[in-house]
Amino acid sequence: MGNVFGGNLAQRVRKAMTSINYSIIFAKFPSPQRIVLMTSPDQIALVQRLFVQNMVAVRGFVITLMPDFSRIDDVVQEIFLTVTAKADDFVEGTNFLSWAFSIARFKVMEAGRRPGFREVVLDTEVIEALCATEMEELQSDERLRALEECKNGLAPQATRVIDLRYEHSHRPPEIAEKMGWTVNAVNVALARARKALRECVDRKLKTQAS
Amino acid sequence: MNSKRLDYLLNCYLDGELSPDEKHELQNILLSDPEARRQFWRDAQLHSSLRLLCEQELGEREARKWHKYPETYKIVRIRRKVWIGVAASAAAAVLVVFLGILLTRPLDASTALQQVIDATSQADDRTYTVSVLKGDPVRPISGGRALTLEGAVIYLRGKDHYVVVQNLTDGERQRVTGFDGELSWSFIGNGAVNVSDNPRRFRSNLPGSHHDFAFTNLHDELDRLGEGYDVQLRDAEDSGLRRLSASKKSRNVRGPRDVEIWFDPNSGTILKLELYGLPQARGGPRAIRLSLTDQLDLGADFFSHAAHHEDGREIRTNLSK
Repeated sequence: MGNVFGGNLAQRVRKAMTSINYSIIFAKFPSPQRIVLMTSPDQIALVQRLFVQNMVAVRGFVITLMPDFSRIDDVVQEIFLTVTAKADDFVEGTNFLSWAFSIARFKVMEAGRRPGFREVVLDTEVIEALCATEMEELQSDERLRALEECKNGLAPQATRVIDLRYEHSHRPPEIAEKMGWTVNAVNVALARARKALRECVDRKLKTQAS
Repeated sequence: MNSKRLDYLLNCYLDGELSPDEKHELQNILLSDPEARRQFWRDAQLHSSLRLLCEQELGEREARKWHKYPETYKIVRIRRKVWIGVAASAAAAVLVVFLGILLTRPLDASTALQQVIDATSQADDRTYTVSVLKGDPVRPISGGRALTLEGAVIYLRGKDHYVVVQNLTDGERQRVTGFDGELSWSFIGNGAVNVSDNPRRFRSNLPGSHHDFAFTNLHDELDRLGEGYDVQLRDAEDSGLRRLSASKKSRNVRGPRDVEIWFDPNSGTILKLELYGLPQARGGPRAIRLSLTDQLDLGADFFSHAAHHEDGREIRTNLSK
């Protein structure tokens, strides 16, 4: 599959994390399974370090396949535990993100089979088809920076709708109640705001390129 | 493909508003149309980026509450000021949120026990004091002398480094015993220092050792709890702590009848450990407590014997090689 969240993002995350005292962080993570004790501590430390370095990318990948924010933390935690338990399978020097994405894909599909998740997660064959699609890298530094600028430039009402959806994790019916709108009006506002953001980002990137 | 219809379905997907029929329709489009799949990624990635940007704000608020990790918070602030990329602060924010979730969600007893076991291997220095809750604190040793467990001080580093200071009942001298990772050693008062390369050589009179629960090797002793004991996780009465209660599964299991552990759920560090129903075949206390009294760095050489006596002391070395 294409590395949708790869490259630059991973590098930036790595830079951001470099100064953090990993020994403090990892002392807080309980070992997920006793079986992990059979893997060398160095190997476990390696995959856990790489996981933290790539966590934004992994989390972003999960959000695309599971847009209900309330379930994201559980799935990301399960991915962390599986990555730790399967530490022996990872070969140092190979593409960690690709390995983590394959685990993430299976974890999302597994979650999709659980009651309550089935409605919000696409079927396995659809996820497989999506992940097999070759993609150019869309999550570049410039694109992310442009997105934040564009978000700051949204009209007040659109900003409020986007904040309620993405910062407060409200779904359209809840947003409608808070804003005194109909659910349909919220759906339209969200769709318009996203379209405006996408066009704004494309425009900014085109300007920068020229 | 009707692009307006696909836009509509994708927006419903991103907001969790797809009906079963609409989900079926969207999935059919995605399976049959590569261009629809590319549009899916474009829309879904915008959705995910927006969420990550908002989590940045959320994470910064959480970070302000994160008193225990000021360095992490500092990094988030500095990164924001100099702007090295959205992902930098987003990553730290997500990390804080992720850690927060991991740390605050309930642990099960075996996971909590493993956390405590792992923490006993940490490099940080810990100082514990022993108190006798029930029974006789005095234990006779050779030469007509006796040690008291009450007030014994145990210094630990990592999995196996220790120094134990115990008072003799004469009220004047102390027995000091230690292991620096290579050599074990012991001396009483201003007597000769006995040194051995056998780590267990001087353990026989250490607190807990004759009760089948050596405080100087908490890692292995706690590991044993996972097999021979029923372990339950409880909230401690002391605010912010958790408590592990372990009871022997059968009389055939060696060691104390009950073990109570109060620990910091963030670090796994044991703050208090109590043993009840200690074996009485050789006398001694029935119940004892170990309390964490300090976590200050003891210095690089603290666990070697030279740090505990003056230069020129007689050294009796007993090496196996």
